Amino acid sequence: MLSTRTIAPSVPRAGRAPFGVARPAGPRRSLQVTRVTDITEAVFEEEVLKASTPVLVDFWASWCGPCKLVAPLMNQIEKDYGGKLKVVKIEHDSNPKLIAEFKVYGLPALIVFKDGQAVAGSKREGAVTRAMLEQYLAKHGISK
Amino acid sequence: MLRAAPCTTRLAAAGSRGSRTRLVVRATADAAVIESKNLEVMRKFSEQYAKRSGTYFCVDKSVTAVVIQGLAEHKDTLGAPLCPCRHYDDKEAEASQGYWNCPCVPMRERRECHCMLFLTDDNDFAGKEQDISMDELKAGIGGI
Repeated sequence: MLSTRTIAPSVPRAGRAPFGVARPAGPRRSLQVTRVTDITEAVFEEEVLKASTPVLVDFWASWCGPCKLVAPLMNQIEKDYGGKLKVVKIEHDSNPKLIAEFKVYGLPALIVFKDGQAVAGSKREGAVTRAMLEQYLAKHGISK
Repeated sequence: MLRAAPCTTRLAAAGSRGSRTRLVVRATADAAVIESKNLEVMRKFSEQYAKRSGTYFCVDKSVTAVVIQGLAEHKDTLGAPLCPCRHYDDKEAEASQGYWNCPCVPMRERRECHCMLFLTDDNDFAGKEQDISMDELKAGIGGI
């Protein structure tokens, strides 16, 4: 079982159980995220803009079905790209400055960051298959 | 922390008897899932609208379940089933305006549902079903 990594996890509201929050190891349920780095605005510069590798940012919402669908794929992609790609998740409601800065409205939304800035044209909204995601990454200069 | 023993507690919205925000809290082994009064309403709506529009639920019905829960929560809190797969600068204003109230304008005009609740049969993620039982719904929500 992969360990979980969470940096300043963002829990949107009290009383909810959003799927993106890191959970302790245990029986795995379908679509449960077991390796995820949730970040917030507070650490965005450090974790994304100053990262030594390209970063794929996945903006998500608690009750967004497609967000849940792609969550395991995000985990798997980071693993499969073996250090060439970092993946982070950002919950939209609790990080409004980032939402406004990158004009994220449809969720899930993917943006690739390289060398301290968003790659032009890399913002993509909606669910993706594995093949679509690899194609999208290749288009923006990231391959395995 | 709530225990695994079945337990149901009815919570009325603060300060309001017979409010539309009446909720039921159901204890689960891991976390409380806030069950909306509007969950059944949105479940039935989703089935009826899928049939009326000739669309299908996602092959992974937990996606369907999550979206229906999100719609129900928005109906509880905003009075309208605002799309749960988008970020809004002002949710109340958006709910009043109506463009993104389910079924949203893109769905009504072009059968485009980026929540993946209503999928045309040529969509890679479309299943063959237009029904979802309350048991399936709860299982899909509880699996988060």
